[in-house]
Amino acid sequence: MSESIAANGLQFFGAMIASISHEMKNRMAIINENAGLLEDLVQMHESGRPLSPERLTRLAGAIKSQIANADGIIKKLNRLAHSVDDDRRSTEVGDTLSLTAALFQRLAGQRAIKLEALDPPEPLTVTTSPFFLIYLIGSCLDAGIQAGEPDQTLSLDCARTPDGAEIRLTGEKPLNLTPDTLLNAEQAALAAQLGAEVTRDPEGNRILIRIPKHNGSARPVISGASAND
Amino acid sequence: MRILLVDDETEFVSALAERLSLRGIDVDWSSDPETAVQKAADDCHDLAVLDMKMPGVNGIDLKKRLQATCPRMRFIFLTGHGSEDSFKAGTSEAGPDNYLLKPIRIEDLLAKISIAFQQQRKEGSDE
Repeated sequence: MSESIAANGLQFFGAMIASISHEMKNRMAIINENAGLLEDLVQMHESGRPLSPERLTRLAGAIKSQIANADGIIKKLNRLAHSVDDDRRSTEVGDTLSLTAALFQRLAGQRAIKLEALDPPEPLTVTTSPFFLIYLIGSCLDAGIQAGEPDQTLSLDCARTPDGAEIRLTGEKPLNLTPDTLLNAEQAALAAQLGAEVTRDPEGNRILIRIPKHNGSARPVISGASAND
Repeated sequence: MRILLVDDETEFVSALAERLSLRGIDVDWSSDPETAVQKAADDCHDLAVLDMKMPGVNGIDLKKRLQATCPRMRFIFLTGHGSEDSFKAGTSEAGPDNYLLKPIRIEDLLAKISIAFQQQRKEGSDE
């Protein structure tokens, strides 16, 4: 089962990288067209067409704006990449929620769903595997996006509990979740690995993830190896 | 030839539309698929350049909706997705000659538009 978590985790990592690369391509496409338009306008000017400095300034501004967007995307990629540096460390839950929401924003947008990650009222940290926490939250978020009706906002927020933290994914409309989409075997194994508990509230528009303050064994144990290896 | 561009990234599609327009091409554009379908219904375009993935709709489904109103419309697909699955889906719908990966070279798009125009003229003269 742990080998499955590792393999599925790698697949999840790959899917996130692919999604980020798609976002980057779109930014580059916009920069490419604006730069091409600049070239076209200059060429037209050389052929006698008037050139508006204001227009050039706007185009330059548009390119700079997309560069800033692309930089944000790279920062997201960087944070994801570094989430695997440690198999367990002090992890800021609010930060993890905002990163996971950002990673799934594009997928959610494809289904006309908006994601919103709310900051906790105070910093909230747990000691766990940063990557596998992103993976578990992402898996539940994916379930909510796939099952959720379009044209709604899914909100992610977290709160301190006596034993750790509770993460809440709340829809404006009911999330039509089934045992195959929420708490399937993969999610159950992942939750167990993190010492977490995933439930759905009876009203059907919220997913709850409870995570312990200290997870003693965050790294998936490959069968045949000791936890101390 | 009248062309319809559809892509959810407004900055991309408006800049591309302007570049084509500067080259003397009659271009209409929309960042909203529903508006695009309405524009085509009002007056069929000869060719549509569609983004493969847009919020709530993919390029293939949009193609089918446009074709229902404009059966002679031709299609070119654009995508930022580099996956083989996306390539296969796109090329099976539009043909391998009518599929471009973003960021595009405008010369490549113009070449494909020219081919589509020639094919359309040939079909028109064959009838």
